[in-house]
Amino acid sequence: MPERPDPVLLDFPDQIETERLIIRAPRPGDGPAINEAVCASLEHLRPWMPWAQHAPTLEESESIVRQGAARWITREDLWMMIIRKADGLWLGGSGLHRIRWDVPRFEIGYWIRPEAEGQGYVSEAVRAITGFAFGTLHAERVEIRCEAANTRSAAVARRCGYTLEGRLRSHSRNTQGELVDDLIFSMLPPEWEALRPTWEAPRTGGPA
Amino acid sequence: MIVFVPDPLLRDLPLCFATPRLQARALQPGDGPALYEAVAESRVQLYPFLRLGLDVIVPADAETLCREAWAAFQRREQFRFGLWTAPDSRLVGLISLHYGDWSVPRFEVGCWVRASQARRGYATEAARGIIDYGFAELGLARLEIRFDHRNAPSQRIAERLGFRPEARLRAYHRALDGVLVDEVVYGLLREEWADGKSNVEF
Repeated sequence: MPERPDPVLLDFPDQIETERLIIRAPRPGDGPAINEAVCASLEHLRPWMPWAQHAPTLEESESIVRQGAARWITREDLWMMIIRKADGLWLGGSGLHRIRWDVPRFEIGYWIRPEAEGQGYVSEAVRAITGFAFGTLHAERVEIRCEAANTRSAAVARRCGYTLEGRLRSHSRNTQGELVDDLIFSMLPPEWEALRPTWEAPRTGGPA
Repeated sequence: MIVFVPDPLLRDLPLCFATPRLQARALQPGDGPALYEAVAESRVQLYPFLRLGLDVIVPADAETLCREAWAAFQRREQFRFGLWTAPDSRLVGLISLHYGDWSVPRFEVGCWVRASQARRGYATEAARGIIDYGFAELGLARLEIRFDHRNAPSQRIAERLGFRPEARLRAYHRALDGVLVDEVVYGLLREEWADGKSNVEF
């Protein structure tokens, strides 16, 4: 089996830019901005995100950001902030989680503040992060997991061309404590290669 | 709302269970020599499907593994049992519940039978025993069996036990030989086991 470099020594950029978004690693000092975005989104995140049950304090947000920045450096977890270029508004969070560098494989997670929903920002971020995982990090697999009842999240995976691999029954408890099924979607390098030209083509508008 | 899950550390658990032909006993200090002997005999068969961490090279590794298994049992993180034949008390293999999540709660079933004792139905028999243990003693909601897609015997056992195929995760693992392999996931829910049990013969 070939030797793999220690992931902590891998050099890669900590920022991605898309047509409308800056997607970047957390930095010390991001606490107030992420706090504002989370507090504005609590009600709509609460059913799905165990971490969004209560409003975080500014100190908690800054602490989480600094821990995230440290995990980025050690390559344990690549949490990312989504910021709108036009006005600097913090739209939400995403990133590459549950990392297995020996494969390598990653899971993309995402959330968006309610007033920014329905404008394709999440898909734009997921396509960019998918490209980052395959093109820059040489992923062999990228996955998206969500609760079966989270139809908006599953729709993002489908829209971005991910393949549904299965449904794990009673695999998790939701934030209400009920047993729920989880869906697992994935993409492999050849599928990304095939989709890439369509993602990079300029948008021509008109009905989809 | 966060559901209150009783601390698994406070759950009192039996350290043994029996099946028609086997005694299962929590792996503990002193089991190392028997485990080493069984693994040494089976090295070729273990490779490359290993999910039980049986990379035992010298006898001391086996004893370390047994003590770590005993500690993990006390912490209720992993439940690893040695399988012993009743008359001559020979270790025929291991059965375990691992990679669990107490918040559900669920665990994965893992099994291994030494080369000289293979093809006698011991794996299926031991799995039935530990499934009972998982649902009755641990109060699990779900059990799963996961294996490398090349591992046909595991698939047969999962199907024989009434687990349902749920997913095939492509390129999920790099096996010990460096090849990317798919992981197949089968699941069994508590109510399915209760329903089907009376119809299944040993």
